[in-house]
Amino acid sequence: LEALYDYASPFQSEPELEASLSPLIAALKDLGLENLGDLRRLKSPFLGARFGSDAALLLSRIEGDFAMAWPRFIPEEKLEESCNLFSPENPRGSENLESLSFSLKQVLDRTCARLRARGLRASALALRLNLEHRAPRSLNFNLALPQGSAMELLKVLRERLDSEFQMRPLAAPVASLKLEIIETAPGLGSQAHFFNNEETEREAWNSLITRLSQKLGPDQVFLAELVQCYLPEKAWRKIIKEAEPKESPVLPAPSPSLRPEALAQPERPSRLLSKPLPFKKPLKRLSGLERIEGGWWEDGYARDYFQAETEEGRRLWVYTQVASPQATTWVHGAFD
Amino acid sequence: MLAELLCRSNFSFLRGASHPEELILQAQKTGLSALGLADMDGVYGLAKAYDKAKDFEEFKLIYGAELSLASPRDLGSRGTRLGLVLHAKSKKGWSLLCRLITASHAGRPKGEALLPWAEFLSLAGSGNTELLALPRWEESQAPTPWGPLHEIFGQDLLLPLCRVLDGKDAERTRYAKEQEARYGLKVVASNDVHAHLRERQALQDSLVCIREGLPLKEAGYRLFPNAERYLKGAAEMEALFADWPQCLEAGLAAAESCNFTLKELRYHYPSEWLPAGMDAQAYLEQMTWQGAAGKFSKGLDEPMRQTIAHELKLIAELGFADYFLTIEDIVHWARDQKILCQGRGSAANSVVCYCLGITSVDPSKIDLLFERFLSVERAEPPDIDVDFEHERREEVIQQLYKKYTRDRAAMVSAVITYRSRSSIAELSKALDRPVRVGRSLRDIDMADYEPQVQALSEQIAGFPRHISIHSGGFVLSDGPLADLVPIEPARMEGRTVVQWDKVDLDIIGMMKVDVLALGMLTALKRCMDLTGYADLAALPREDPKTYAMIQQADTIGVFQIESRAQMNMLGRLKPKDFYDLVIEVAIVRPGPIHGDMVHPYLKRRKGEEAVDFEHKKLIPILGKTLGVPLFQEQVMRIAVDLADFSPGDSDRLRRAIGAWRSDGRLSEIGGRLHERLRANGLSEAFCDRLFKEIKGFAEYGFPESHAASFAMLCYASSYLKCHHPAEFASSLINSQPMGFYANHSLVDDAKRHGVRVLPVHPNKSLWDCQMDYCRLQLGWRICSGLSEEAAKRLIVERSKRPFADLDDFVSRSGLKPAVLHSLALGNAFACFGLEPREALWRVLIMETFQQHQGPQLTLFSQLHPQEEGEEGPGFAALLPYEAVAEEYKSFGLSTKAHPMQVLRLLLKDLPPARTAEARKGRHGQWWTQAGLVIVRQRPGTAAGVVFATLEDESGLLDLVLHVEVYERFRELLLHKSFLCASGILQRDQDSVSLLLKNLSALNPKKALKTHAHNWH
Repeated sequence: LEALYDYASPFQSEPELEASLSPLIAALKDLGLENLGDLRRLKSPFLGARFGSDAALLLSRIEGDFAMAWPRFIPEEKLEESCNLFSPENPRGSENLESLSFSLKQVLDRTCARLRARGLRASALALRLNLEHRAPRSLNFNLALPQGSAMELLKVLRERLDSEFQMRPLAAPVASLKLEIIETAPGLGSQAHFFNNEETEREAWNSLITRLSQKLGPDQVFLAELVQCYLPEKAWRKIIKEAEPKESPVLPAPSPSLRPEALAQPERPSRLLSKPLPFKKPLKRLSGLERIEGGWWEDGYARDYFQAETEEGRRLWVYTQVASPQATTWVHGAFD
Repeated sequence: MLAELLCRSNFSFLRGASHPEELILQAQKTGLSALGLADMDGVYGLAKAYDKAKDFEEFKLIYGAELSLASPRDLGSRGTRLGLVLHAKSKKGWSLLCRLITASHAGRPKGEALLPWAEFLSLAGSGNTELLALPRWEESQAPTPWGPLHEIFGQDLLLPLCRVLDGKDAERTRYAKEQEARYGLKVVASNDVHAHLRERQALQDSLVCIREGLPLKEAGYRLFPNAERYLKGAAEMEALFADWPQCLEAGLAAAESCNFTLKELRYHYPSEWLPAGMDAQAYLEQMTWQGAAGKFSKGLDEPMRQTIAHELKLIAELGFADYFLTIEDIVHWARDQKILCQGRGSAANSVVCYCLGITSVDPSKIDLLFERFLSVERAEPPDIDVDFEHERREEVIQQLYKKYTRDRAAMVSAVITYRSRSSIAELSKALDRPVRVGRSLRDIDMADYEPQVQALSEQIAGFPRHISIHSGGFVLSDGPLADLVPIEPARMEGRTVVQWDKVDLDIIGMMKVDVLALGMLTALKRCMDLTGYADLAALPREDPKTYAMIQQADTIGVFQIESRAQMNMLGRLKPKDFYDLVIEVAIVRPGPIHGDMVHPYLKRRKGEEAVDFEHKKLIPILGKTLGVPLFQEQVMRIAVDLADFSPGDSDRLRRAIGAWRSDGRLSEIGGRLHERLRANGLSEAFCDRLFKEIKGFAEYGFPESHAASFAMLCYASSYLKCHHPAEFASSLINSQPMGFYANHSLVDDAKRHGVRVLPVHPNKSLWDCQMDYCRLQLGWRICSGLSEEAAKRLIVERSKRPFADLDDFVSRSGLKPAVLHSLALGNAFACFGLEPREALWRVLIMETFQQHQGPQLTLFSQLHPQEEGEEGPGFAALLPYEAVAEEYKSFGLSTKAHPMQVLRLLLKDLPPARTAEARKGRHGQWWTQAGLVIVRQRPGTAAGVVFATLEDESGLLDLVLHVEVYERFRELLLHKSFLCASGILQRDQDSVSLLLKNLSALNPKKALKTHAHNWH
């Protein structure tokens, strides 16, 4: 009787019908039926009267009276644009970046228009340059931030190709090129903003970040975000993110007399060393101590921080270990 | 000299990291002269702190709480919480504090509190001099209303200044100086204590994470920056406040002004019903003697008269007459409403309770110990627990609220605490470690977890997690209860609880009434209604036929002695009178079992071992139990008579027994007991066993008086089972869920006693099972999926005219399709001449017909059910096994046959042996038989041994599985119902069990598949 599932939904396209079958099968079993043969002996009107039209439909499928339509096949969409660089005006194809850029621009315009129509932006793409009588060259672009503007994308591609061609000049003219979008991200909206050029600014920001990361390396371009942690070196982290949409203006702060008694955070140095350094020279203590203890679930830390002045008059942020205050003093930052 | 005025314990629920007792001990150790304990929104930990602080005369505990106060509206941030720590300076101050806390909880969901400013003003008034007020100004999001607070509290408004080395101390000092100058406030030094030692930082951080539902890595600034918020000594605090020592002095001066202790609480029982011109004692005496005249109809003998006089004198000395009268009033009301009730616990030691009708054990028949119940030396409130029919207890509770109003009556709370195993999942989440999900807490193996998690889980064990309601404890008082202790709403609709649990009430000396629910009372009441007995006292006493039945361990459904272990003991102990039942009830408990007292007692009883007493002083104490201590009272008397404990010491021992899991008191007192008993010449072995027994009592032990009360119900239920098995089974089924056995076991047992059981009948059954001329007519309540409401509608419809046939039933009963389906297969429509599958076939079309409300059913069906004709397509009849299985699915039982009877028809090669034959088998005989597993048990007292009960058509057989056998067959035993068991028969007198060696599963489904089905 479990074969009824297959009759109900041979292409797994009717999950609802399939779900409604379990009670039917259970009831048929309760009636002592064991297989489709037993079921066929029941008359269709009897079955329909008890289990509804779906059951009668099933029976007719079993009898072969009623064939099912195959579901439509929809292939996965692939965004790809190509361009033939040979033309009567340019019988040799493109040999340098400048001439290539014109074709690239056309391809990018078309690609970005298609992306925009789908409400998408590109976050990774592949470029294939087919060379005359030579093996093609392929380049993959993983963008630090998604891009939807052809102009900005062109800048990214050009810069990369420029450095690429300097290292490995083209061995032959480019006969044709193909651009494929490998990965997409949601777009910024299908219409441009009426009253400001926010969208353009955000595209420009993304492009800047992408180009900088391409130049300097992916880890070298980041924003610093504050993290709630008492340990200074872990109190921030690197992030990379798109420009935030502009928010409505913030309401004015409450007047000072109504402000809660939240105490000001202790002062932090304007420059923090990435690693604390031992400091052996004499120091003059300037402030009361700030003790931080915690992280016992990992390595653990227990430090007494304070501000101190060097003989030269520099204000430093230093600490000693809680357990051994007499031992080494570490400098962790400096105040301007 | 130092006073700390800001301190949270773990009763601030996941905010403080130390028990109140730890804080008191540490405060005393570090030389603090006073500690102000103030937990958030309650006084939950204060009774415990008070109990600990009593030990130190020089040390002062200041009683306070942190009130959640909504900031006044005119200062903005409406509704922002300000934590206002209030300490009671006097008894009046304490009452005000309790009322404020009560008001802050009123009308809010459980566990939440916030008192609107206006309400605070009206309660606290202006110019208040009874409370010290310390706003937790730093935690508040809104500005602290120093001005308005100053108007209310004047000089008693203090500004707490903390120096916790977090880099903000200078800023804090500047703020404090500013407010001091502006309002003339006193600034007091504090360390904002959250733990007694700095080593609790890890636990403190973990608690924050559990509270916030975050891993430690993400907790950030929710954690404290360091471990400084612990209880610091005078030297440390002086160093911190070297620049401003006046703050320390101000703290001390403020502490000086607080002179309230919980000892001052005076509590009075309600007494408004006293007849004019009579005080409570006189009225109690009058009621008692009146009651005595009724109870002892043959006349009071002199010793009994003296006992009553002695008890009354003691009650008068202690001033507890009101309490007895209150309970009498409740019991009296319940009896008027025909609610069966009976006192249990140590109250059964009192003849006064018997005369007032609170308890039913006749004290002249049994030698009980009144001092266990009430003694001048202990001077503590007696504890009377009363059981009521479980289905009608709510009426009693509502009556209490109605009579005394919610101002004067509230339920006792229960503190739900963390156990090391239960906390492990939460701690693992906090530490971002993998959580292993087990089937139950027992499956958690602590060794699977990292040492850090293990250590924390041990520390957190015993920490309060939340407050819940005690099962039935009520506190009643003459005046408003909220003057003594805050009251807050409980999760259950319509319930309010006081903020102290029963241990706390004991410490404070407040009396509680336990209104408990007992399913057996419901069943007994129903059975007595059917059999015509007016009450329990009307049942014939000491009936030999009943004892003969008990000795056969024929006790399925009987109160207390129906469990496998009890039945096993019945075969060995063979109770022949009421006192034997008292012993039977008490002996199968961790106390006697851990103390290895069971075997010596049985041997002595059988005469296989001489009854000797290690010491002549033991003769009066242990005489009744043949020289073997079985009851908690006996251990206490041994402590007094042979270890020179004062009754007070002995009482401490009793309390230590109750609390030994949470502290080390028991080892300490136990050590002393051991030492003194040895010095008095008792053997090492005896002392060891005694101490083990005491530990067992701590887990679960019955005092003799309690066992006697339960033995009464045990006898009553046995008598009714013996003489009225059909009515008894019917009453048990009607009172389900209760007891050990499911309906099918109860019905099979009734059938074995010759009862004819009639299946559910569409035209006869009521909701409950009922008697139909000595036959048991099953009721609709056993149908799966059928609600009482639906059944009642059906019965109303039937009363118009009986159901003529199935179609009539389906169209008028209004039952849901699933229920109809189940009734059809369970053969409930046999009375309409239909086989189960035919009935189902018809039910199915009727359902569809009704759904569509018309003749045009579907595209494919134009048939009206009537037009189809009576004849169905003809289905194969259900096999006997299938028929029984379907009945089980529909009703949880079968009236046709025991499943094993029909299984034998299906599986031809089953071993032929039956349970009834096993009971006649000899010790050591190899035995193989098949059956249905109905109970599986792994008692903590049995060192890993697992017990199971195998049932077949002729009765029950106990299976005993040793650890290695259990491990081998665990899956089978836990997940299969039909099993074939082989092993060695073990016999001890009439008690027979099978020591299991091999187990295999029977597979009826497979057998059914191979069975040919002929479908026409």
